[in-house]
Amino acid sequence: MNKMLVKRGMAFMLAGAVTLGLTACGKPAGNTGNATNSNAAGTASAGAGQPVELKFSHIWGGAVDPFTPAAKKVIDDYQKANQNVKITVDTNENEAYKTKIKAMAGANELPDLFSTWGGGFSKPFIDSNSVLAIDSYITEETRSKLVNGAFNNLTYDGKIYGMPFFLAAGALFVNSELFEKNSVKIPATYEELLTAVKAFKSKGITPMAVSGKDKWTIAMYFDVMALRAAGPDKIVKTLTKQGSFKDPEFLNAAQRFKELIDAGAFSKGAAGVSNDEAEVPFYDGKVPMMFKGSWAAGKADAKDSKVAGKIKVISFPAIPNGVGNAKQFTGGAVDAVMVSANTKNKDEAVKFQMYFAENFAKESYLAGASMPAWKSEGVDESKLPATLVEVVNLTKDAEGFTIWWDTLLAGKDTETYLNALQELFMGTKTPEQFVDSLQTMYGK
Amino acid sequence: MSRITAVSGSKRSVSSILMYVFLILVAFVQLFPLYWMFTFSLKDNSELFGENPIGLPTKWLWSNYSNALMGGNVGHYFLNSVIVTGATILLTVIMSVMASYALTRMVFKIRRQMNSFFILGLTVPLHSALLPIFIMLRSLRMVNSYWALIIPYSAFAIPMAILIFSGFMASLPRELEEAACIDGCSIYRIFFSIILPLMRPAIATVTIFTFLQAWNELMFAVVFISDVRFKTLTVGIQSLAGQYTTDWGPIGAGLMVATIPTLIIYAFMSKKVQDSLVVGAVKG
Amino acid sequence: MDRVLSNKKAIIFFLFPALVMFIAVIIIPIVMSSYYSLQDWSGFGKGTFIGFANYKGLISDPIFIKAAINSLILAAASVFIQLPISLFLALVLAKGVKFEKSFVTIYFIPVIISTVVIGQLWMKVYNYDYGILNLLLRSIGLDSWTQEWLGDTKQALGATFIPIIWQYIGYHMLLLYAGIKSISTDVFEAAVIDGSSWWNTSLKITIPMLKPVLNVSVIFAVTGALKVFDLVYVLTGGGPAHASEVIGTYMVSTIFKGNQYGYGSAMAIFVILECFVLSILVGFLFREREGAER
Repeated sequence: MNKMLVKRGMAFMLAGAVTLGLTACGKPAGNTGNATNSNAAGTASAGAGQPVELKFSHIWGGAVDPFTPAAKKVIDDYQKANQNVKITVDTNENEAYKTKIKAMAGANELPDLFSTWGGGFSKPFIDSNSVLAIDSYITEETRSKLVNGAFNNLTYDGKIYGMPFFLAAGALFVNSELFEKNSVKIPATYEELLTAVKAFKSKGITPMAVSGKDKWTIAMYFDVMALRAAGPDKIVKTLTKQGSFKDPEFLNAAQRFKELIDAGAFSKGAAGVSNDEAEVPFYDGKVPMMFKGSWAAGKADAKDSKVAGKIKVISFPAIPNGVGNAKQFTGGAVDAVMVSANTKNKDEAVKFQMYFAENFAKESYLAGASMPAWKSEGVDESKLPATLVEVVNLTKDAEGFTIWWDTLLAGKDTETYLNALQELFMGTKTPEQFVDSLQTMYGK
Repeated sequence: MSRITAVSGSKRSVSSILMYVFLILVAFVQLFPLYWMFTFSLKDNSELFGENPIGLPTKWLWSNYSNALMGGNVGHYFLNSVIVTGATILLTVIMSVMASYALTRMVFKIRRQMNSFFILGLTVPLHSALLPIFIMLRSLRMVNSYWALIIPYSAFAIPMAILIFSGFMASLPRELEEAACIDGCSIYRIFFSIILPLMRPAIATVTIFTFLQAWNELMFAVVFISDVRFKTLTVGIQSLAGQYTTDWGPIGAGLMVATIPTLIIYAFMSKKVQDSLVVGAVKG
Repeated sequence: MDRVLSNKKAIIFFLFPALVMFIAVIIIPIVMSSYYSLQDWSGFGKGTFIGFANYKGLISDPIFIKAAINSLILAAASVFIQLPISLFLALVLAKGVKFEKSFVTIYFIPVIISTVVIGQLWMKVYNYDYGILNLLLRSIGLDSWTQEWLGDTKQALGATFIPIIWQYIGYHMLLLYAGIKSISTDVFEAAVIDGSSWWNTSLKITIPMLKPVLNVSVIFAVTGALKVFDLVYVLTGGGPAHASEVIGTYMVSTIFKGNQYGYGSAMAIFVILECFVLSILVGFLFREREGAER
């Protein structure tokens, strides 16, 4: 799991909402770099109460990461408005953080607040009563500001445990310049996709970027193909162990994926390269297609990007005999901030949690780094990176979002899935053997 | 030591030329990572991953260094690493060289077993010990302090150091102590003024190895320290990585900066290892 | 003499500090890990006691068995490939070549370079498209020999082990070099007077006298290999399809990705026992030989 949880950090059922937010942005936003302070920092007891220290561990501290200044600004603003609150921040690298936060939970040493991921990752934290349920703090007003389904991955046994901020959607990023140059049609159907793959392949161009070593990037492709084959309901049911991977839809998805692989969609050396490395040829304009989460948009539009203005974002086409359609997306709202059940300042911690989630969502959106899980009003779309806006537009009329498999599944099942998928990718497992392996999640 | 090679002849010189060619070739291979890390620190991702993975950078991105240095409190992290590593080396060397003396030279019943007992320390996988050590540090109220790192680093270095010291002590002739004993020296005098000076090459070796371990350790440093006041350099460099994509150049620059002190310490200590011969180690 | 050396107070004085630290940080965690290994525990909250079920699970877990075998292969390669190279270099350098000090310094460099850099470097060597290895093969017309190396289940294990073995050659070289330097020079002088060749001196005098240090080196090589994690993790993550899985990588993914702390602890205890038994065995073999020669 892992990298992916993070890397795709976002998303879920929503869409209409973002649309709403964006269309409402007619209002002059004024200062873009300076988010909305409207619902700001200390609506309630500004600067009054007892001095409180809140410890907050998170993952937004990278030197060149657009989230770093966004997180810092939100935390600073809050402290300015609430003079009695001191927030002690601990920033960590993403992968190491996952080990750290688990060890902290195991040693009963969790900070007051911590960033985490919904679905399978946080489940053991909740099961061990390490996290505060926040249902009673969530007002109707708060709910109305969030996109539909924003809590879906943060609800365990009917209770809400975390506040989301990002929304992510899987999409096919295509380099329109490469398509034009090689007179290949940007695919609208699965047949056209297959044709495009073969056309590029015959010209010696690797059609699609993937890292076979960072398994979650393979899952990006397979998750959406399975969604096309089986439709959202069946996927969720089967992953929550109320169905069977032996149903023909899953075999269909695996066979189609195999078809793409056999058509030469991916580079021969892909199995040995990491994601950072696998993405480079796409961003250098040498590989025409990449299926990734919406966060990939930010990089396509970065200052020194070699593909700026050339990237189009399309939905993965429907596949033959599939129940799903191209308006269903993979993704959802996954990244979240949670409050430790052991915190000494429950109310203060939750108050900051709410503030942080909402404003971090906005700041990150303004920075062009991610779609928000909060309805954003008063954002000047024209100042946002074009590719991110494309993703937003693409997902406007989405029917729904289905969470990535490795995010929904927990612990060992995630490993089972990703390992079996890697073998399918490498050809050491046939599609039939692949679905058999998946079925082992149900026990023998 | 030229006296051995001095036994010459024309065959000798051919073989010695071959030997130098071999040594120099090996030297190139061993130097390559240093050169490569330097070029790495001046490139961007597209050069690094495909366009120009091995050669000199086409554009020398010195900005990687300013990104690496300005992003964090590098100076502060650096100082923390120096404190933690220095204390670890000191503790490790003192405790281990003392223990090794007892374990190799002194006479007591369970000496053999004690020797084996310390080997256990080499066998523990760090990852599985993470949580137990965390819990222990927490109960001692040491989380988020220099001790949270110094203590585990020293403890994990002790078995290695004891083995190295014991290995070296085993090759010291016993006559030295016996002579001292006849002169009526106390055990402490024997240890501090006879044995300890002879252990210089071993101490230098242990210092190098302990330095490497403590300076580069990452997992304990990430997990046991959440307070920015005590974070170490490797953690600082690691946090240069972004959430979604990683810009490798600044990481290369950070690693370059972190490696320089290692090189200096190593060059200095390895000279100590070599000097010991000149000092005349054990001239019976 | 013996009276001085069996001074109880002195023994305690010398041993006590190391012992306290060792018990607190090494022994207690071993005991705790053994306790976890008897539980079905996620690493969070409370576990349930399940006796030796985790250990039974290990024996019937094909991935674990593969990982254990791979780790043993690495240990063997370290002892029989890496150490002889290190020993050879140490002997050559210690006999006194020109620029001896520079060579010793240079040969150690890979050890001090961060695993991240070493990993990235070897990925450049192995890359299918632009890797040095494949470029080399193509340039001499051996196109058919080009491989995916790290991405191919048949090559991945070897391709992962080569960098690990290479990186630590300098480590053992330094240890052995320091060992040789500590041997009394009189011994060598005597040998030279006898007209013994360098090769002979090495075989008959240096190596036997180096035994205590060689013993240490072998123990380090074996325990290091059985616990290896970092470079495998960077290069392949144990993949593809578990081809380069070692106990270290499998244990870490079991504990921290699979949330099976109990099962992972059983692996840790296995490693501890395996390392311990082999180290004692190595020590025994070295003593035996010593004894036999006397």
